[in-house]
Amino acid sequence: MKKGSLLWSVALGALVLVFTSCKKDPISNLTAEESRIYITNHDSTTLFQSFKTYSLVDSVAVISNNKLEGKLLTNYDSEVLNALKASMQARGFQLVAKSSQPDLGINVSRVSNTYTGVMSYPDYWGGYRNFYDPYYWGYPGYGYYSPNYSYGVYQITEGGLSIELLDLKGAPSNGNKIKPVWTALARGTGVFHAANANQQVLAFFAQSPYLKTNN
Amino acid sequence: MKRINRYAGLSLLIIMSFFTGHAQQKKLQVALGYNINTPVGTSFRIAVANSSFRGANGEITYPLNKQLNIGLGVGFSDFYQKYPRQVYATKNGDISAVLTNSIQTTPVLAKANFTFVKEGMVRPYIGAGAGFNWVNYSQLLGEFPSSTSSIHAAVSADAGVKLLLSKAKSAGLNLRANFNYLPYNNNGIKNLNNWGVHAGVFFQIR
Repeated sequence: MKKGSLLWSVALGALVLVFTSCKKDPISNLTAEESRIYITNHDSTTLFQSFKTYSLVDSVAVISNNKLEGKLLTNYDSEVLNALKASMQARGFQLVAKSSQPDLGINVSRVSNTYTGVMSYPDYWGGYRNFYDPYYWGYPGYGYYSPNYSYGVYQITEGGLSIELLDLKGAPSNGNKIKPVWTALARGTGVFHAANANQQVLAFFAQSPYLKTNN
Repeated sequence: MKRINRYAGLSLLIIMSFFTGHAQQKKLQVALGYNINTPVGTSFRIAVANSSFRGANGEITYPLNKQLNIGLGVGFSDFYQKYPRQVYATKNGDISAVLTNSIQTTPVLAKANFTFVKEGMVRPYIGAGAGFNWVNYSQLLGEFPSSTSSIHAAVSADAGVKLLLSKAKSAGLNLRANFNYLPYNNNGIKNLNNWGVHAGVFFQIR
């Protein structure tokens, strides 16, 4: 190839690079609210009307890089728990002490993984639930049931708020497994801001109309 | 993959023969300009209905005679659309998200342009191109992207007019409309066909 031809080939390559750098950046065109996603999944075989009572954890598990850092009750955590109580009450569920054999238990976790990579929701589900000992719910020696239904897969690079509804009533008949029947996950910018906590919980319930009972 | 290689190989062959066979004998012409492109077709417009205002095009052509030029063209269009927050159903659940589709097309084409008049300051022309199209497709749920890049066939047809401003340097303005036939098949989008308008300049380089 002649020198001039090579030069123009390089110039064309540069032109391609210039063109492709002209793309509009989708992420910079999102507000913090628009950046957040709310994912809910549920066990389609579960009849939520069969549950009447529930109990809620008194603190939130803080998980960082797949390690339990502790259980805290910050202002944000309180906002989440209060929003959950309000939404569950609005759907007909009655809050009881965990010693009163509630039908449902609710786990709440703040997950912050700082690595970059692809993380599937099944892994997410399977991994963090176990930071709550089944003993907490009055089922020492029990394990957690791994659901076989599928979930969306997303690239995860930041933290998220995870909420899980556990079928405590059915645990003895589920082969000593506590089965999660509903999960919710919020991710995105500002997901751990106290001012956004209520809105996130409302979003979870708004997209889960089946989550109700008649009390 | 074989099809992609065939298109890429054919384009490369045309480009190489163009550069090595003729470049020393006559003057090459360069054209650069700005494009606005509008999606055509239901599946593409469902993903992105907005026109692309971030587009550009460059061409290097060689005159075989006073009316026919052949050469290489590279284009770029950025199609973008953000949809308001909505709840999308999944197999066992739902996702509430603002959905963004971001699609970049970069067709690289072997081109031929035919000018209807041999002389004159106003020279209407038609053109055609064939080659490959490098596509970047990203769909974002909130700030979480799912992206793919792929190469597909590309064909284009142009009609325009060149307005000669400097006869000595054979330079001037270039205005044209074009249609890009860009097959594609991903995430329900069957093609990335679009039509566009182009305004730019052209000049000789040697």
